[in-house]
Amino acid sequence: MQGVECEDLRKSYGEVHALDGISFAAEPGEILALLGPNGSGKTTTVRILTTLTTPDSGRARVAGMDVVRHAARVRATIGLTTQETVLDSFLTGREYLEIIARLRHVPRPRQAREIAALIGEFELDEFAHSPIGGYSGGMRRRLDIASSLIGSPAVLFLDEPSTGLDPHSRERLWEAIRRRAHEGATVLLTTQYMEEADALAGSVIVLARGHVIEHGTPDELKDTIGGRIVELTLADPAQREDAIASLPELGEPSPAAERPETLSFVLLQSSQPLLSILQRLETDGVEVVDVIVSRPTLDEAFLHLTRRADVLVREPAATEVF
Amino acid sequence: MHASRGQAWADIVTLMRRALIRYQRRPDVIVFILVQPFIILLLFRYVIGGAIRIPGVSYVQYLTPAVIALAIINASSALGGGLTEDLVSGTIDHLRALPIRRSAYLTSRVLFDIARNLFVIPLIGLLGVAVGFHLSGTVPNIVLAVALVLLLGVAFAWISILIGLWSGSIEATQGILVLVFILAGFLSSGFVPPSTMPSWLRGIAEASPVSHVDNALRVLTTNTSGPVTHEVVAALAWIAAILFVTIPLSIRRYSRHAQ
Repeated sequence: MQGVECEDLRKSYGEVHALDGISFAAEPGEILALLGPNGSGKTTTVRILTTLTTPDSGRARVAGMDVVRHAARVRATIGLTTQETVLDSFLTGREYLEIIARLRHVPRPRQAREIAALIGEFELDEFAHSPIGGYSGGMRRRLDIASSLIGSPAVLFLDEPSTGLDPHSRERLWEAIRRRAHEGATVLLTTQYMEEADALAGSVIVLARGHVIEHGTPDELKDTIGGRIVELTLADPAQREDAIASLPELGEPSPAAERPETLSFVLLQSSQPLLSILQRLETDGVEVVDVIVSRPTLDEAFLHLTRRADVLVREPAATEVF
Repeated sequence: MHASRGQAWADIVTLMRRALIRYQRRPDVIVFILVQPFIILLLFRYVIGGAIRIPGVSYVQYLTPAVIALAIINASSALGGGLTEDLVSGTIDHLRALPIRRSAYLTSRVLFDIARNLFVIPLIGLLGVAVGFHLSGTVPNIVLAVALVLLLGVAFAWISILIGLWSGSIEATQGILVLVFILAGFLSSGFVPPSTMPSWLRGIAEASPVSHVDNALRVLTTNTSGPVTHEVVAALAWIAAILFVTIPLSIRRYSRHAQ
């Protein structure tokens, strides 16, 4: 198969199992998002697929070629944007793109045309002849992404591509990514922004501690948690603990609600009806002044999934995810 | 599928162009490479040299060839720091994901250093002449002398690369390379004859590749007689041995970094 395919990838660094048996596939024209907290194995997966490191076991193919046995051929078909955007500060943006175009062996007559098109697409015209050292973080990011698209690679790997971009640039980036997928490229992106996966990806893989814990479309992921989030507003914040105690089967409230008088729970398909929850609270003397029921965002689905997998350490994850 | 041989050369030329643009935009780098040996030459010629007597030769004649060799060793130490910077910043990961040979980047850096040293050598030589050095070697001998210094530069460039690739931080690389520079430069026949050193040190200084190069340079550039063939052969053997060890280790480290 063209696109990306991996089977039971494993990779350990000493005692740490960075990847503990990862399998998935993405077809040409597909945008696949890898979600997961830091340390879940996203970057290791990308590093294996882009030949920067080798798996301990398992197999991976990119554009139909084995990433270990045919690493050199794989490199000729991929574009990569890594998380650390450090570019040669002394080069101008155009010079940088020219050097990458040559090293990617884009035929000479096509180089100038492609570079001009990318400079326009990523709105770099104004700065194309200035040294990269004077660029803002967002401009560097755009240049870096533009450079990974030179030569129209068949498979694109974008490691957290929209980090540091303003909303306008992010929209432009998303358009650029969709255009490449529409033209037949396979796109694999990692992201911390669920909104990004929701907006772009046809399928999402949730990673935690080196395992694939969920695989589906963004809508399917939202459905796996039962489709409803209920947020209760209490008359008296002091009754918070009482409310939690009288609803033991709902578990701990989600950390998403920050005000002391609100409690947010995930309602699973198997949960009892909302009405009986409210009745029980009334019986136990907890006064509820407002109830909001909503469909979960992908953020909430993601948090729920990773919590359910008992792999998310709450404090660091909460800061990393939001 | 590796790129063809022609393509591999084109990649190296592209990467050398990148290094050239860097030098054009950052002239301070080349100034730094020249200023240090200039100061050492002036210090030893005028401050320290007056107290040094070497039988049969004026000190400026003895000193200048050694400063040229030292300048080239010093210049190659800039390479290691640059490589650590490229490793830490992720530039090398960027390059490793491109369809170019694993040796292309390191080769381009070394070739660029050779080209740069071709400018550095005559400049230091000219300053030597300005402070009293008398160049009297035949043209073939001077060409041989320059070639020998360039090869010494290649050996130290690969030492510098290897240290740069193994070190975890730019500070560590620079610290180690300054040590290498001082020990290699001064623990040799470069500034005083090893016969004036304690016997245990004399053996080390006499065996040093830098000493063999320095001794050969003195004979080749000043048309004096001396056991030059032996010195050239010994220097070449040293350089070959250094390259034999450092090149494979460096390319291996470059290819498998951070697995």
